[in-house]
Parts: sequence; structure tokens; C-alpha cells
Amino acid sequence: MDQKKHPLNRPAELVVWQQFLSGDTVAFAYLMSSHFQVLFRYGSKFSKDKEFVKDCIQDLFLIIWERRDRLNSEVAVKPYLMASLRRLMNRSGQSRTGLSNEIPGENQEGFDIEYSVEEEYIEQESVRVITQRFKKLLDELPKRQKEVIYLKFFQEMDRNQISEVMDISPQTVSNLLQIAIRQLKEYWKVELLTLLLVHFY
Amino acid sequence: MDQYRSFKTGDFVWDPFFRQWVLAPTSETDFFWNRWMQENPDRTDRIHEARTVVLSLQVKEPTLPAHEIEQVVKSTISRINQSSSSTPEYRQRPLPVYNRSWFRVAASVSLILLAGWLTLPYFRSEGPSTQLDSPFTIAKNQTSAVTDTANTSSQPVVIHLDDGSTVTLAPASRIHYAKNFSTPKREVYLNGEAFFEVAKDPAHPFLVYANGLITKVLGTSFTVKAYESSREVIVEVKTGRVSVFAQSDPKAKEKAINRELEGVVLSPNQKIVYKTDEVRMRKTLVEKPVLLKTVVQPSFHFEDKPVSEVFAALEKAYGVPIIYDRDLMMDCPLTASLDSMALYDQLTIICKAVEARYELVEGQIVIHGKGCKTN
Repeated sequence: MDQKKHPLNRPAELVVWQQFLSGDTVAFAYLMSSHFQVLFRYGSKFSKDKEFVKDCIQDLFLIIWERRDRLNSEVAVKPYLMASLRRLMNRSGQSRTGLSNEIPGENQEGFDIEYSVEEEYIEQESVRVITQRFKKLLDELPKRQKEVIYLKFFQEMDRNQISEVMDISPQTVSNLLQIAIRQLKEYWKVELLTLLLVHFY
Repeated sequence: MDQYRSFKTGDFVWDPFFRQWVLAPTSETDFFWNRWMQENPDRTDRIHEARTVVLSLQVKEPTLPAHEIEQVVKSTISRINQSSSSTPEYRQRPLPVYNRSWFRVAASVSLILLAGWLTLPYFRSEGPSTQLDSPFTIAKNQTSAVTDTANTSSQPVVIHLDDGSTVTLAPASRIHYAKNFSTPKREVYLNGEAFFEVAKDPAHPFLVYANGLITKVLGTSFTVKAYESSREVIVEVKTGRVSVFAQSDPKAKEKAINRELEGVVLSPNQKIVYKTDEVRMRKTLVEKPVLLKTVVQPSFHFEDKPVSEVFAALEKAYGVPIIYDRDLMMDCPLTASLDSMALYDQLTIICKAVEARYELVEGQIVIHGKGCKTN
């Protein structure tokens, strides 16, 4: 069994997890309802079919209930559930595409994420332009970098948790993050420079 | 700290510590960034710009309505109850079942519906003696004279007891108590976490049993955290005074019955951590001490006041003892406006001004300083 420590894990969360492992249906129901929204949002990045995402989440919880005797009592709950949902959806997705005779490959596993610029925070026109630039940079990232950025900055996960969710090594997470952030900043510089040049000529 | 001098807007936007402040500020991060801006006034534009970007750039997330989540959770629970009906170790909880279009097997739908329909009237007929704000999310088990209430929702639930007290039960927590508090004591058993507001009745002590710890009150409000699998119990007092003692205390029975507050007595803003495996209680202060309820809102605006007066004002406002060397600190004058700040921030500022430091000892605040006699 994997006994590594998850520093970001809140003890109260583990308490509920362990209650669930001992067969407590109240704790199980709480675990499910408190994580449903976050899982639904994550799952929606892989499929636009709302009912399919809901079904997958229910299947996930039915499976972990069945297997609760064999589950680790020291997990980081949220990343564990997200990782399991990701695997489950990939598998179901593959069997789906298999039926419709499509070639399974890297491309069928998408990560659709949409960013929006919330106007109510913006007072100056110049800042609106800057924010739109940031949005464009995010939209242009390759899908794995997109996912890493989403988990790191919008789900506030650490390196180990991201590696668990995406099923890649912590080192790969670091590399992906580094490339993504560099890209987000680098492009920014180039863009500024061209903007300035355009301005001067 | 100075790495931030060279930061451009984009660097701030993707700096985890900066984002944390923008999205979920705490008094510590507020303190840090406000001071940083004061010290680097030429960089405040960047900060404001980056702040706006972080706030306005959001992920478009779909939101599933709460009732849809509720339905899926319910149908999942009834499915696992169905499948484990042969194993008696799990308590059966009948739940209303809705017709879900995506149940793939029609037979299972009718089976579950039938089971729900058969068991529902039985539980309805019992008649709830407690008023529940959200009966939808509560699983209740009422057998004989005991009321058992569990909160399976993700929200705290308020329960009104017959004696006028209220219990705010945290998610994944459970209490049980006698249906009527006719006994000389009012007794509640707790698993998990709850906030109690106890109706005053000195003749009938109110007792909370949680994981080996007994909390006894006459009329007050406080929180008890006692999760079954956790090895500690925490009691935090908001108003009034409570006493706590271990259930293993040989005199526990006497202490529970008599009308005095014995054992370790807690005042507002104090808390106790009871380690069940060490038989040891540690008294300290709550994380965010709050002002006592008074008619007049206390003012923390001081102009050239001796620091002893400032401490006295804080002591009175929070009901927390402050220990310091009166002679040594006598000559320390203080001018400060400390309104609408948290206690620990107020203490930090005062201590900085008079070159002292504070420490929490046994639920009290102890000030260490060298005094202010400079010449």
C-alpha cells in the first residue's frame, strides 16, 4: 500500500473517508454530495454529454462502495476521486468510440476548457485588453498543459496531487507546468514587443 | 520578499502566493501584501493590474443544480442499500426513490420504487418530534424513546430540542438524545461536530457526551468536534462558561449531576483539546477570538494611553485573561487605532509598538516585554 503523506489533505476529510471505508452510509452520502459538483465540472472537460458525466460519477461511487474494503485509508480524497473519474471516463469513452468504429488514439481524449473574462472586475480599458491577452494565451495552450494549468491554478492542487490525477510522474508535472508558464509569459513578451513595434512604425 | 521587485504583471498573475491572496485573502496575506505595496509604491500599478486579471479571468464551469445532485446521491444510496440487504451489519435507511430515466434496467426501478413505497409510510407515521430545516437531507431513526439524527447533506442542519436549545449539526455528524428531557439532566450524545446554543436552565445541567469527554453547561453556546475515527475531542466556547471532564473520571457521575461547574472550566474564546489516547487536556484559545456580546460596541481607538489600559480593554472585550508585568509596562504609552481587527492582529501591532511579544499559555495571553524605560 502506498503510504506517502499528502500534506494538503485536511484531516477532517480523512475522517469522513475512513468512516465511509468502515461502511458508514451517512459518511458515504456526504462524500458523494460534497464532491459531486467538482467532479461534474472536471468530467465536463472530457465530455459535453451532461447525463453521461452524471452516470460516470454515479458508477464511480458505486464502484468505490463495492471496493471499500480494499481502498487505501490514507488518500487525498479529491485528487483520488478525480483520478478515478478520469480513468473511468476514458475507458467508457474508448468503448463508445470503439462502437462507432473510430480510431482510438491520443486525439479522442480532449480537454475542453473555456475561460471567460468577468467584466465587473475591470475598470480600465487597458486592463481589459491585457486580460483578453491572458485568455488568448490560455486558450492556445496544448491540451495537457491546459489540464495542468487548470489543476494547479484553478483547483489549487500540488504537484503530487496533479501527478495522481493525470497519472503521470511528478517530474512530468513539473516539466509541463514549467513549459506552460514559460509559454504564458514568453508569448506575453513577444506580443508586447510587436505591439510596441507596431506602435512605432 | 524582494524577488517581487522584478516581477512583471504576468509573473504576479501566475505566482501561487499572490493568487492565494487575491482569491482567498487571510489577515496574514493582507498584512504582507499591503505592507509590500507601502514599501514599493512604484509597483502598486502592477499589483492592481495583476489582481484584476486574476479576479476577472475565470474558468467557465457548468453548474449542476443541487436537486439533481441530491437525486443521484439518493438513488445511489438506495442502490447500495438494496445490494447489501443480505449483510446485516449496515443499517438500512429507507429513502424516497425517484423515477430515474437513466436506470438501465426497468426491473430494478420498479423494485426500488416498491421498496421505497412500502417503507415510507411506516417512517412517516412516527411523526418527527424535532423540527428539521431540511428534512430532505436528514436520515432519522426513531426507535423507542431515543431520537437519532444524522446529517447526510453538505450543509449544516439546525435542530431544535424540546427545552428550547438548538443544535447546529455539521455535515457527516450524528446526535442522539432522549425524546423528552424529563430526566434531571439534559443529555446529548455526539459523533462528529456540532454547535450548541443551550437554553438557560440552571436546575437541569446540559451534558454533551463525545468520545469519552463530557461537556457540562448551564446555559451558553459552544462547539464540540468529536469525530469517531479522530483521536481528539475539541470544545470551543463562544459565550458563557462550560466545564469539561473525561468520562473516565472516577467522579464523573457526581460532577455531571451537581449544579456547580467543576473540572476544567472554559471561558469564552477558550478551547480545549482532549486527546483520547493520552488522557490529557490542553487548554488554549480559539483560532479567531470574537468579541463578547455587549450593549456598547467597544472602541479600540487609543491615544497616548498606557498599555495596561489597552490590555484591560482587550481583556474585557474578549473575556480572555492577559498576563503581563504591570510595573515593567507601566511607562509604555500607545497610540493606535485597532478597530475592526482580529485579536491576534491587534496583539501583534501592540507588541510591535512596545517591543514585546505575546504567547498563548493555557488559554491565556502572556506578554513578554522589556518595558519602555529608554533612558
